[in-house]
Amino acid sequence: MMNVFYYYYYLFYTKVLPDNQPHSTVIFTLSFTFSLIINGIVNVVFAYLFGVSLRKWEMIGIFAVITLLMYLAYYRSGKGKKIVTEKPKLFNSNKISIILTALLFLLGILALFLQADITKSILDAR
Amino acid sequence: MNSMYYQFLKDHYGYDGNNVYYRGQFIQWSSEVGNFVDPIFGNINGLGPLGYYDPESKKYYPNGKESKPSAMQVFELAKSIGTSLSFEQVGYDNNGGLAYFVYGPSYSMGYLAFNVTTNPILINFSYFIITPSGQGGPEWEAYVGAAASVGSELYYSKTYGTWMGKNFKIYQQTWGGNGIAGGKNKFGKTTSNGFKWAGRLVGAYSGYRTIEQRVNGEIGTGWMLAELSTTGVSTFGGLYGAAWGIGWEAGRFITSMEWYQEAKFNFWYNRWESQVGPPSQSNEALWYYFYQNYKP
Repeated sequence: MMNVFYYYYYLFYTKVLPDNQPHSTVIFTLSFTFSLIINGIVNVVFAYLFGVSLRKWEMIGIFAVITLLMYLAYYRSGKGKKIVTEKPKLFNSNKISIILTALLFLLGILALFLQADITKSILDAR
Repeated sequence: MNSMYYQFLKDHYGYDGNNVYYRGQFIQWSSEVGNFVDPIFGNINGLGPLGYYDPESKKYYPNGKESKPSAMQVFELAKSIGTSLSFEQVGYDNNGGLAYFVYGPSYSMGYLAFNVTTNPILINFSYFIITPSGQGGPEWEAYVGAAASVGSELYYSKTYGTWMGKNFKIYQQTWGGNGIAGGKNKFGKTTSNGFKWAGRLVGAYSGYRTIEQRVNGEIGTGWMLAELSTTGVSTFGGLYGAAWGIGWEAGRFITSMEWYQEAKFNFWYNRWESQVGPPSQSNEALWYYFYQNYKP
């Protein structure tokens, strides 16, 4: 699944918004997407259970850790380049792969825009 | 309860229909001390309400004192905020006393308003801090983000097929460079990438900072959405996004200037005055309405 996301993010940054460092850009944007989702979940759960939320440096720390893991897993190991030649797909369908990658991106955007208000409303209600 | 003050709290903090909250904590109203436990008002260098007049119950709640504070006391306390305070008489209160509009220190861009009587007993006052629309959200981050986008495009643009040398001259990418301009890839592309990554990192930082500000109640939802969108666009949107970011920040810069706020206030003041006449007892309610609803 992760390999598919990587490949379709790579396609986006080579065909739609061409970048001269597509692999690095994919690692950055994919890590940022995941960090938004994870930080959003952590914020909501922490607010609900403990009445606290993550500070910006804690959220950035999670982003940094994810980026480091992605860097080690895909860039340093050379797996990213291998994925591009393998062209992985979900259920062997290009359409499903694009839809799921778009959903992941959408989830990240939703987490970016909604997590603060959701967290705040939970904290306010406590 | 002072409706204007309560409205201010509702606009700036969490509100569940009954109580006001700040970061999950109920902002306690105390009729005994005549004050809310309020993080923002605690920041006014020690100036707290001397008391509070409830127009509904028509009762006065002093700060744990039986006697009403004098107008002079209010002035002295207000002056203790800073020397840049200025007072402008704007009308009369319900008992024929003078009403003042007080400009706060310019750096905080705050306004403080209360009505006082000349007898000289304070019968009713309210104050509110209105931050200009330019405050909150990213500041230097958006500048850096926009500068990084521009710098990245200038030094090496795949879109325009150009690159910039060490001598700050723009060349076509068909030329590889020389000793003076530096190499297209070795200098232009590398510098461009440096700007690009700086912008991206600042964008990520700015996004999380804005989220934190919203959770802390420092900015509203609308402002947060605007900041997050602008940060994203100016950081990831290439040259057009950078132009957007620069325009956005220029607007923020202008609206946060004292001369702009003064000019804006004077414009609306004059306009209101031409419609209802200068402040007097006969049109006091209209002027009260103006000050209640004026937003910088």
